[in-house]
Amino acid sequence: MKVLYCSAGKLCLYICYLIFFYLLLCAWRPARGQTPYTIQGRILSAENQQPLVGTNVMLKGTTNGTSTDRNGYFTLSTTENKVALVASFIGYRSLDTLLQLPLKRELVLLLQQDLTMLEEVKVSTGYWQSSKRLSTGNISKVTAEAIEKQPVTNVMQALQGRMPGVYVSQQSGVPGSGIDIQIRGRNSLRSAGNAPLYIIDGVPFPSASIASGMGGTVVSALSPMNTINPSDIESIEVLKDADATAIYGSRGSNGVVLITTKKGVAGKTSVTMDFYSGAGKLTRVMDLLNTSQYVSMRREAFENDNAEITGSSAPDLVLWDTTRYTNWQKEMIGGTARKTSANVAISGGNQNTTMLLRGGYLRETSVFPGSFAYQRGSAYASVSHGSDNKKFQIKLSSSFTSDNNKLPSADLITQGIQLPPNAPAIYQPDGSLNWEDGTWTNPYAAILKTYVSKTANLTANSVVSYQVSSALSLRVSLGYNWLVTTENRKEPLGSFNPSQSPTGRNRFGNSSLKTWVAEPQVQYQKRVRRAFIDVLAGMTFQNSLQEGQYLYGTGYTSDALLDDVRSAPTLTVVSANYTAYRYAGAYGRMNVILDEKYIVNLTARRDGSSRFGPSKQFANFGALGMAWIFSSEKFFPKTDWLSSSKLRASYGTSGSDQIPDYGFMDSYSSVAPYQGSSIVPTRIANPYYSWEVNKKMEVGLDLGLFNERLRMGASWYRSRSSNQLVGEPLPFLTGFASVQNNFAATVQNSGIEVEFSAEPIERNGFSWTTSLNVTVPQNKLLAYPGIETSSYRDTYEVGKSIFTTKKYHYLGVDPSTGIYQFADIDQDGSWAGAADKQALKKVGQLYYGAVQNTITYKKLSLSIFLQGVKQNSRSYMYSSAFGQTPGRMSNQPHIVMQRWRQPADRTDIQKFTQSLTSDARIAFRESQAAGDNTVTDGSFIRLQNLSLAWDLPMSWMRKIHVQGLRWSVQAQNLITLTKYIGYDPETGTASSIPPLKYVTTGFQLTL
Amino acid sequence: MKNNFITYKRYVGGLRATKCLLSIGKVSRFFLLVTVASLSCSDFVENAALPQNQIVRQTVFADPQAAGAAIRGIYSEMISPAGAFSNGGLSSVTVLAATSADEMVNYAPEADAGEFYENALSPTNSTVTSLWAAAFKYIYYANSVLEGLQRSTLAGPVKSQLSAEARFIRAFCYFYLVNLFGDVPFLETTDYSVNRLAQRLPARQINEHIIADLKMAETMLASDYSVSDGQRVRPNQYAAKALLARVYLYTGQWALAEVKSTEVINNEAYELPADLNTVFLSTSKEAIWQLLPVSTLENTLEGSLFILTSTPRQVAMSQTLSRAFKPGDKRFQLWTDSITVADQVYRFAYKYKIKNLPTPKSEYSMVLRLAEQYLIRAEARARLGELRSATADLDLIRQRAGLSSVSQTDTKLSQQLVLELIFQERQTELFTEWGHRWLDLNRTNLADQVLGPVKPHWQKGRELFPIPKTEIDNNPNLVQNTGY
Repeated sequence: MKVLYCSAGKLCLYICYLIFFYLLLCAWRPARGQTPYTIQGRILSAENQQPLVGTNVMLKGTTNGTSTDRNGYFTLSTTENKVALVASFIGYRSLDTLLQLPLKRELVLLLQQDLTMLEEVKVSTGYWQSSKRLSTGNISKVTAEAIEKQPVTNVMQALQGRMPGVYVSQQSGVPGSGIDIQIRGRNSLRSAGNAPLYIIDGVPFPSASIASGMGGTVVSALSPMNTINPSDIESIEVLKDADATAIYGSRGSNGVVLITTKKGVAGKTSVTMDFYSGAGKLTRVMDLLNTSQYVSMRREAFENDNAEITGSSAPDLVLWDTTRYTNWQKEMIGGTARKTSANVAISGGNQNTTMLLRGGYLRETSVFPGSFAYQRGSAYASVSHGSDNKKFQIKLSSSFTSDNNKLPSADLITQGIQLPPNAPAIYQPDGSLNWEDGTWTNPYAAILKTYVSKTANLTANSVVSYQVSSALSLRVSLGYNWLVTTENRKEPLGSFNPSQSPTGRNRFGNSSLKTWVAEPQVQYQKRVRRAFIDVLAGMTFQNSLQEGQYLYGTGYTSDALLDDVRSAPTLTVVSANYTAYRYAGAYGRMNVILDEKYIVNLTARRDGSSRFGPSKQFANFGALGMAWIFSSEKFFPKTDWLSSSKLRASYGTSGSDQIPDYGFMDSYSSVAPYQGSSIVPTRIANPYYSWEVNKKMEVGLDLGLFNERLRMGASWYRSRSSNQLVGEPLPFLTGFASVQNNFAATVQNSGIEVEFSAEPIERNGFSWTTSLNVTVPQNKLLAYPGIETSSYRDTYEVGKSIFTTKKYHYLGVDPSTGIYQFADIDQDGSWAGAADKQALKKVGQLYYGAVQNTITYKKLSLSIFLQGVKQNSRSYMYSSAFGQTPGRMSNQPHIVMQRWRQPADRTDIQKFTQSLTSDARIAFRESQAAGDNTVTDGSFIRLQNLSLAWDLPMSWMRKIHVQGLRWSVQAQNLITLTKYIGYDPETGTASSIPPLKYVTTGFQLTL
Repeated sequence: MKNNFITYKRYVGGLRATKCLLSIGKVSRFFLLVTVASLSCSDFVENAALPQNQIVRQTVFADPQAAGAAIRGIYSEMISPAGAFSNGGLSSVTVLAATSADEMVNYAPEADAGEFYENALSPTNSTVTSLWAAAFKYIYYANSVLEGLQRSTLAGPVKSQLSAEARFIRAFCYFYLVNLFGDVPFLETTDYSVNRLAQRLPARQINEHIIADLKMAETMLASDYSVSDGQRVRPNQYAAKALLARVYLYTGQWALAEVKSTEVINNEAYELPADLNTVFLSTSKEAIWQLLPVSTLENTLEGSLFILTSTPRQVAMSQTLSRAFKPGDKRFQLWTDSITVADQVYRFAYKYKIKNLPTPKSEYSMVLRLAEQYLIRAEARARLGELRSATADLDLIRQRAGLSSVSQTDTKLSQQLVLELIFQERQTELFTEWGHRWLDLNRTNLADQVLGPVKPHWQKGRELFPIPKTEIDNNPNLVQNTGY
């Protein structure tokens, strides 16, 4: 049994090793002899006569080549006396020159800028590359250039607004917090089932935090993406349609995010350093009550309720100083965060071998009081080697990142909002925390209770390929990722009220995720008459193992011993986790290009995942993509203005297995020992569920006008996700809250994406480029047989968006009672009850887009990026931070002063109440949970990024002996225009601090 | 052990990945490798490692020690601070029934707790939901053990002891469900497709099921505490008899209640200690069934929650309860205490003396104790007209509390008066323990009369808690209690 279990995994590894050595063997070739002729020359840009550094210079038909130095010079040797020299540089037209040797004078070659270079933008699906012109799928790409302009910690933040159909939002402004990314809407009814697949250099990367979930932490989920240094990234591609994602089979349903790291370039060894530093603040604060307003609110509430004000019912009015004032927002979240980032890179190599070494450091502090900071150090190395005949290629890259995130144990925004403005002083005269006879919880206790999370991420990838013949090549990709997180949540004695005779506590968590992936592939490319055929076949084997423990040490009587786990008087193992995931698949792709104008792309995959029960593990996925470059047709009139045009369409399926492991298994798990080991059932097991299937369809049109200076693209898509994998809610009397199951429900996401980019002006050193993208998404619950009897009957409605919620319809404050009124739809005399929840309100985006403008004049470049979103958000009232009814012992927004006071008052704020059972309190609670007045317009226009850069003139740089020096000022999330009341329309919550605005300045130096 | 996992490994036909690969002659050697690999494709996925922290059900019930762990797991969850219903904490029957009745005042700012105190429960109250959910979870656990044992090959005595404990737990949970919520579904399987649509069964039938389970448990459980190393932390035969006595009393089967309580009282393992301070200790001779605290932060949750060191933030004792004690009642002196903050006096229950000390665990959470059995027998006898023997039982409890004997001071007591004295005694003896007061008021239909004057928001018809709203949402066959 054990032998068999091991053999499958090991066999796969052995095969990969075998292929690896076979390829190494094929690569070995003897070297060549010496040569008499020397070619010396210089390569300049035809436009401005500036040297083109790093231009690739080759002798045609040979592997003999080099690249130009910092002044554009190159030297080559050859034995022939007649050679054809080819010079190529990205963004320029290649130059082909015949030379008679020896040369009579110095050779100077001028390269022309290629205006159609946009055409040659390469896009990748991770399995194959294609030029944007010949691609049949929908792939959006963001390159290092756009990422480097943004002083962000998490690279996903840099994607905000950059791609149509991709909605990225930040969950919180706390360093290390998570990013939500939705590619073409929500496909799954399960909120946790909508994450895309992340692939970094071929290695799958987890989308969710692996942390132990020790609770009470300041961030709901630490994003593992934080362990990727944004400046190591060359490009991020997002695969959206069936044609691009079907090759990922079961994992491609929600789209694929491909992250490609930077690689070395051949040429002179160059050293690049970049550095920036800056400060961040909250974008805005709320207008809260001052002390006299607060005190009058409280008194009025007691009066309204006919209740007595006593020391226990209102310590704030009786026991506290009612004239004291503290601006708690300023105190708790009003600080300035600082961010500093530094990177060094060394790159170099020759025609055969290139290498890149990078090191980076980042430090980001928080807006909270106390010394909290996120720090990250990263190292990255990449080596590529090709044999002389270019048949054998090997690429190795590996990165190691280690971060340290020290945070308070809770987001202090809650205290900032809720603390009564007359709350007592934080410290007693002797410097210890003031507990005011136990009448409050000192907010600084949360600062003494710290949460530290340290994550290390090792990613290594190697790709070995061998060109067997002109048509056939073999490739094997091996990847490994090791993610380790250790956590510590400390509650020292000093953070408790001493009168409670407390003891200290410390939680110790560690978790790790090890993933290996092996992918052998074979590719066959051949031109057969008018057709170019490209066939790829391969397999994937992936194994992931997640392990973790979370220990809880309690009863510490001294803070000095708090860090030592062995000193814990009582130590409990709260959880121990061991989860293995296996995944295997075989896939094929066939691409045929006929006459350079008809393109057919066929992909198929058979996938198996260990997340499903026996006999439910495997499924088939596939897609067909087609494109027609109709401007190449003879019948198409030749025009000056239309330079290229393509019509494309695709249809196919992909799936999702984003569910917890082992859901099919009927098992027991351990709980706290009760006179020895103790176990209880883990779950309600269901061995019968299988894949969620997403059928995607797309039609697109791509146009290039005026010699590609104006480009337009439009896509219409529709995806239908069915066989929904849902934790089906159960009544608690079944013993558990849910069971893993398939639902017959079908969710449809459709929409239109439009892209537009242009270079309207380019003359005399002045250029203006502009681009725009707009997405209009639509979501619909297409079908849901049996919804009437299901637990979702009050949540979703067939024919409506799954972002829609069913709410009570708000009618305003009753002028006679001063209490919220809602529509009594079923006319049963009460507005409460499921039948009255008929107001359909969508919380989500109606449309969104962004505009990028870059203006360059000589050495100065200004880039402005604006993001616009039309959406409904949850109002601040929905947030639990404002969970207290106005009138209770919690501060409120200033707007509550417009409350109802006496009959005939017309207002939108109901009367104050402090009782937990008054009618006003019940109305408030219902409204907060289910009133349509909690959904408000959350539309905004945001100056997401502003970047100004100045390159030092060449003459200056020569004097200081550097290749390049650029100084820049960058701002992120600078200005938001919105009608939304609250902190931020993007997060739509007051329970966590919103994304901060940052202004930084820095330089980039090339030696 | 590994052999049992074979159940989860079945071969999946169909995947022959070579189909996906095009055959190209030149590289047949390479393809040979790929083909070999693809054949192992389904094996590869099938053989994903099993979790080391989960044990498959068949394995659990093939091993007597593991099967015992499955029963202990239920007690562990019942007393876990993270749980509800039975741990003595904020979401336990002990606290919620005490604030619903007239024993405790709520000071917690959360609306959920306040609604119990003000008898204004909403069906969306999350604490009602957790109370209900926890009880049904333990019932599911018990049913899972019963099903596991049914199919297991374990030796008879092990099987019989463990299944009797499971039946006891099921009966115990149903006792509270039926008395707090009224009619409830009776579940005997773990099959969710059946349970999810279960209908409420009349309380009378639920009580019949409880009695049947307890009778079976009574015959199969050990008569001593040997399975729990002499500690009284797992129910034995006498725990079943004690609960049975209570159920007979609640259902008006006086004679049977008298028989069962007598069987418990006559067992020499149980006695009423003269020192009131020893009643709730782990070594208590009065205990019939206690739960062993598993919390790492305190002894019992009751001690941690009830004992006040500053202004109450959760609960404190009510004035109604304070006034119920007669002068000289030692229980008032020893089982309650008070603190004064800003000239306000706050009294609190002090049966458990340890607030924060996590170790050693010298106090266990009391579930069933002998004093209640005397009071059950006294009431049963009084109902049967045996007033003399009823007052004799009552006096045992009164004497220990330092009160005068009823039988000696007055010989002309009416049945009505004796019953009233017994109820008074129940109030001052069993206060803040497992909701005795709330259940007593309801089973005697006195809630309206007693709570009306002292609870400002009291309304008739609030004797039963509402069925949680999410429960009705998820099970269309459930009907809400009247009044909600």
